[in-house]
Amino acid sequence: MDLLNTTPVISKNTKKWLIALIGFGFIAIASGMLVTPERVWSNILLNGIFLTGLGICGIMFVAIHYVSSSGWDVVIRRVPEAMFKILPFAFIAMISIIFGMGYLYEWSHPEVMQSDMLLKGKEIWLNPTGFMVRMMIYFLFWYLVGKRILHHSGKQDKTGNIRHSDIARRWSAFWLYIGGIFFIGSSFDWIMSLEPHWYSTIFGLYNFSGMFTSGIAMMIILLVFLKKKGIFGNVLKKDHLYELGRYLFSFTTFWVYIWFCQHMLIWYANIPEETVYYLKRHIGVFGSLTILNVCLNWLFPFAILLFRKTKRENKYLVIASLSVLAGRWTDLYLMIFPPNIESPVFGILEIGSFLAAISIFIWIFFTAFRKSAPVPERDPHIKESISLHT
Amino acid sequence: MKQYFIATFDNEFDLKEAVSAYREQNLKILDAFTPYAVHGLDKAMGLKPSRLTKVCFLFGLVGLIFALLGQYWTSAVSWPINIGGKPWNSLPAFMPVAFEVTILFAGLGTVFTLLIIARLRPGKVPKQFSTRVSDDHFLIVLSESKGILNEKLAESISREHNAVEWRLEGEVK
Repeated sequence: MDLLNTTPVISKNTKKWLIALIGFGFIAIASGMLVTPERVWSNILLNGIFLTGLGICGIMFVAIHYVSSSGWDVVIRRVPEAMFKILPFAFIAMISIIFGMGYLYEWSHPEVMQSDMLLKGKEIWLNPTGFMVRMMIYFLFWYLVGKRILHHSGKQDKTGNIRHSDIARRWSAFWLYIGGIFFIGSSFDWIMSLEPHWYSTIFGLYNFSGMFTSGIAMMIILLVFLKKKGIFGNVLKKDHLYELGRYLFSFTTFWVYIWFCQHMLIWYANIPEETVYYLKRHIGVFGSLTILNVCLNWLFPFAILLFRKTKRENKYLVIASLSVLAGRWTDLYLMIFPPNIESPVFGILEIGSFLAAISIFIWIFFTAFRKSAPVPERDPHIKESISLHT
Repeated sequence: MKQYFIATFDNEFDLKEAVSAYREQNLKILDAFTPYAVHGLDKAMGLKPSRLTKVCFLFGLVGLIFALLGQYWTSAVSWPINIGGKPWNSLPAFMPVAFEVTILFAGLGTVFTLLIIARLRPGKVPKQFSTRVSDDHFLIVLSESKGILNEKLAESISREHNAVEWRLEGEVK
């Protein structure tokens, strides 16, 4: 195979830019901490969850394709594998929430818990110790079990033994079962408990759909970039990106399906303790953002990707992916900000912290991507993947 | 007499190459019969993408409009009932039905369009050139173009591309 030019993808110049952006973000966060700490913590939570989602989407993508023994994805598999490496850094962002819990979570104040009948009943789940312990368990599982899958995938490059695929498949199944449940738990813990009186059983699934869609969008952008740089030679074909385009198309639709399920049932049932959630998000600027959210996450990408031709054009794929990534940010913004911030805010703090998060992701991704061969050449499915035809 | 030239192959690779060769020599390919879907065969045969997707889209659109208008008319125009204090024209509540009817129209419409276009009706006996195409044989059927079927040329191409056998079959017009 004629792949692998081994020049580093991050040039020194890019590194300077990334450091500048990360520095900018951290300065914005540090200075914001003095003025509006609850806004800063909301931003940290948002970006932490965003990065966690990218990492989880990476490993989940790999695991799904191992479990289903599908062959087409083998060529692109190293990209989601490298995305997964962001998890430890996302963990640092998430664990730092321990210092800002008081600003974010109403239930972290013992006096509130004592005076509120409803919250008192939830104390067994909603307490700071449990929150931290559960977060550790989630991340440990996601990372360590994910590492096992990657370990066998990497080892196969050297030995070419088919057994590695079998073992990786077992670990993948294990990851999907438990990791998926943990993801739902994490959505309840980190986001839904921002409004501890409100609950929605579909919330985990809703967050999952947004997470997976944004992860696929990121994957498409990275692949298009890497293909342009010539990393994949002629091994990565239009057909692979077409498959990912179909992924993106179907998952944007899945997102709106779940979003609408949650919205319509709450709207129609009209139970006061449930409608509280959407009342906040239906009036004023938050209301316009809710419409923008649906447009960015579904309407634009759906309209763009509806045709076969557009799913085969890098330009349209990237436009749709950018829309979905912006949509994911808006989606998380609408989940996280309304409970603690009275009126919508958008400024240097939001831009700076998001740019810093993206810069960290890009840095980690390309560093991790260079460490192994860009294509797992000795995977048993590699021929099937290279000759993919759609 | 309408004549067909039938060449039989025992693998898809010979078949695909032969298809390209026939087309280069301007022989008209009526159809290819294979035991399973062969990737790239549509490209080799020069088939255009199916137009059924457009039919499907149109039927879906019709279903969507029909469902929305129907619900709007029944619950807001013809017989307005106050349900849970919701407005008569409560669009979100119409969505699930609109969604289902869209799918129903698109699905059934596409299937029936296909049946009509392909002239498939109950009791139709399809013309079969060989029963082994559902087993291990790959068939290419050439037909006359402008009343001419260059049999010699077809035969030499078939031989060149490792055809297992070839024959002429006639049918009274």
